[in-house]
Amino acid sequence: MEGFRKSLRRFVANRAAVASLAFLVLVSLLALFAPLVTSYSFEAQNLGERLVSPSWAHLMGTDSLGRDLYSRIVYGARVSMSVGIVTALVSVFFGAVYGAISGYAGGWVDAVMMRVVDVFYTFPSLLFAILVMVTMGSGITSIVVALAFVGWVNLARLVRGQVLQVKEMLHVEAARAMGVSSSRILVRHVFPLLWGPVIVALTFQIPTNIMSESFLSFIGLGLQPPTSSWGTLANEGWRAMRTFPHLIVFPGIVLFLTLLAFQFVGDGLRDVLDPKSRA
Amino acid sequence: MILFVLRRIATSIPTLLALMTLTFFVMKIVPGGPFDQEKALPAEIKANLDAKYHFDEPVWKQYTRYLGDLARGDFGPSYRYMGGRTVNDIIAEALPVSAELGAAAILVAIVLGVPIGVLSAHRRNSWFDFTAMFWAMAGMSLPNFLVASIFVMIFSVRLGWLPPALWEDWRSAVLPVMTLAVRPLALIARLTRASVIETLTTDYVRTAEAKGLDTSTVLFKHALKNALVPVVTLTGPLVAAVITGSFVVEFFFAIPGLGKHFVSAVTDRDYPLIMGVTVVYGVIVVACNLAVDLAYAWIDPRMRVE
Repeated sequence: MEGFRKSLRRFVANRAAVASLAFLVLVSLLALFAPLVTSYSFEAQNLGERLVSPSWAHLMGTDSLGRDLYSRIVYGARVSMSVGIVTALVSVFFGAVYGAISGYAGGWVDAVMMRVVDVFYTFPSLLFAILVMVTMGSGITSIVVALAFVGWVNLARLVRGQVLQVKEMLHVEAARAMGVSSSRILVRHVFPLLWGPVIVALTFQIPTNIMSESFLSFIGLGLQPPTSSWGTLANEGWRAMRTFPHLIVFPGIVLFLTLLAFQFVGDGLRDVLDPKSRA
Repeated sequence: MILFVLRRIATSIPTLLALMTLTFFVMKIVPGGPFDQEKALPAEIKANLDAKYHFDEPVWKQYTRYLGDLARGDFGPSYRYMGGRTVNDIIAEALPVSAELGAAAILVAIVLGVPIGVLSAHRRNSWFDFTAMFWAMAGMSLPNFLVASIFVMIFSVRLGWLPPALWEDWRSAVLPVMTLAVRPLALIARLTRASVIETLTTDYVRTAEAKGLDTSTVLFKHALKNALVPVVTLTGPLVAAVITGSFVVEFFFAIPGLGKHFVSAVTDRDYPLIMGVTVVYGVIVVACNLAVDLAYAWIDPRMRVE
């Protein structure tokens, strides 16, 4: 508990990280309570009010079908944020389990498992994600699967390295000497020491995935209309950028600030939880 | 050293093989073929097409044929351009464009990123350092398509200095190259800074300073040389970043490169083209990693032992 308080104090001292965290909480709350904080539906078309510039009635203007951009961004936050968080959780979970097994087992099991990781690691992950999207078709489930499919690799390496260190520690050796089973040692004696680096990795994985989703949606592989994510909004906005810059400016700013905020929070957490790995 | 080189080359072959196999089977389990249209084709035409592209053979035979063709450097016909353009034609046409774009972006990133990183490290916690590192962080948080939009909005729409698309003269290359360079630039600047800061605390740098050498000599002749070693390892991630970046940049600026073909091949379900481009990327990435490892072993003798 003492350690936790100390960490918390150090995190709070990092003003950029705290401000970023506040921003992320705000975005999440807006997304969560989307129907309460928007006065239009994200898919309601109003052809009489097409491509209106920002005004009091439409804070961020409307798109080419007269849909309120602010509402679309808030509802888009639901998609972008949940895709980012869910895929990060899934890939961190698989990566951690994979890495832990590989590191703990050692020997040829480790060698084979790491060879697989190497193949994934050397290759641009988004290319794999695109191949998965080709197989499964576009849509939100495919995005989650595709991004989780490529995201676990970093975690597997990280956790394996950590496990290799932890398993040589005295308390693990003691547990082994007392005849505790391998799986129990992993869960009870090894995992508790890993949560710091894993949480840091998770924080950095979320913005990576949000960016990947926006990337896939931008090149037309991601979500299909009328569902909107920040990436699909940017794609729609880009096409009309010359005459109606608000269409790309607003989704762009929200996306950028969110990604930046995750970076700052991640940096702050790393300084507190995992100071060794600071690059 | 020769043994190390040979062993390192040998280990990249399974990686490539795994990649080709994976792509092949991914493409095989995709529902719907390239000839599926709203109206079903007459049975004989379908049979002829299947025979022409060997779809009537068992999968293992298709697989060995595919690997055999690859070994001879033949990527097969493109489904999209059935008239006769092969995947080889498309790659031969598009790869130089992408290579130019990518190499220029990496060059810009190194030429700007290394000095920025060194200066940031030298004036640690200064106003310059904070500004540079804030922008580096921003650069890593900006998706390519936003960078591209911002650049086009400023330099093409408002100022009218540079063309907003296409790949013709050097003026049309400026915006795509800058867009693609942003992320590698940010990565290089951050890593160089961290690495120089670490080197500046070493004894030999202190000795150089104690000898009374001037700051720039210490910084650029002594510290930078060692500090750049970790930056060399960044080449792998850099190439990967440039490849994925090129999908969006080429799509955005309508540049006829490999990335644009890959994206349209995916939407068109042109499987041989998808596989061909993937394999080309695979070879590039594996070759770069190999080069990095060899360079690393050459610079740092400790790496060869293992």
